[in-house]
Amino acid sequence: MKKIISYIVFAFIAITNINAQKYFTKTGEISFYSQTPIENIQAVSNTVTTVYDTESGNIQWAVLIKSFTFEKSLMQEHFNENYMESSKFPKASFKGQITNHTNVNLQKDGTYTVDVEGELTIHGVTNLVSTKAIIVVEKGAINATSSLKVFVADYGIEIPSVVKENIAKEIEININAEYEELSKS
Amino acid sequence: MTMKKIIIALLLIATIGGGIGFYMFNKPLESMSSMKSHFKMEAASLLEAFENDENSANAKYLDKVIEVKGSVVKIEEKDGNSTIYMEASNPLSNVIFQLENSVSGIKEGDQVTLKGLCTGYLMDVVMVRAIKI
Repeated sequence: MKKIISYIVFAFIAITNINAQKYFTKTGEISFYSQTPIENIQAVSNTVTTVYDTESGNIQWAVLIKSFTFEKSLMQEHFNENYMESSKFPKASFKGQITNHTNVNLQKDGTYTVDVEGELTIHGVTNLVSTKAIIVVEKGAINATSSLKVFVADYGIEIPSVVKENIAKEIEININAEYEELSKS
Repeated sequence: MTMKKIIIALLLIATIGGGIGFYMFNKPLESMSSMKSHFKMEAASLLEAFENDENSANAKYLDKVIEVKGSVVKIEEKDGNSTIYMEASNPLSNVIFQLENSVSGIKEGDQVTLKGLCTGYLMDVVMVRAIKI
């Protein structure tokens, strides 16, 4: 019986240790930018949920399409209803890995450039993407920023010809997250 | 003479039409205080609806203005954005509100009613453009 209890205690400690290597936030930021000679369009969401496992380098994030806010209400309406079909596909997500995560020393303050690759799902379409990210470690806290460019057409998003000149074919996506240790919250 | 009148009338219509079009095109987001609430509910029942059946909860609540009542467990301020976490039925999940303006007069532990736009469910139900009522 004692043995069983010690196993359970051991298992519990092991689980908490694994948890301690996970970092997360629910208030990460994703913004995107479309630039054409006719108009520039920008939108931002500050409710991105992301988890980073420092042990495996696995990184995931998810964002609700309807949480993006635009300057103009008509843009937001078109974005949701015509292009992203956000009632049908409410989320966008990324699931991947920092391939050289062992370069990041969490015990030491500093700025590290890392490679990220994984699956990006937007509008129900998944593609493999790779990019670079910058990780800043400061007093045990992790701040990650990254950006990547995606072609609208790769994600099955159709832009009607009337507004073709107003919306860029390639959109720049910027990500910024301040991670907290999971066990702390 | 009548031709002239017709032209003037057409010009007038075009100008008004164009004006309305321009106004609609540039219209900013409507402020939450002037939007009508579709639902009034407790934070726990809103989260449960998404946990039980996300698809039907999406169909019912997405893009809807909801007044949610509950207890504040966490307030986060980051780069001028205020986020309020409201306690729900599950210790790991909350109803999260991103506020339209910065937080004022709300502390952790308070019972509050917040009105916001429901954007869906990740690990939590996420509401945006929320205000205190």
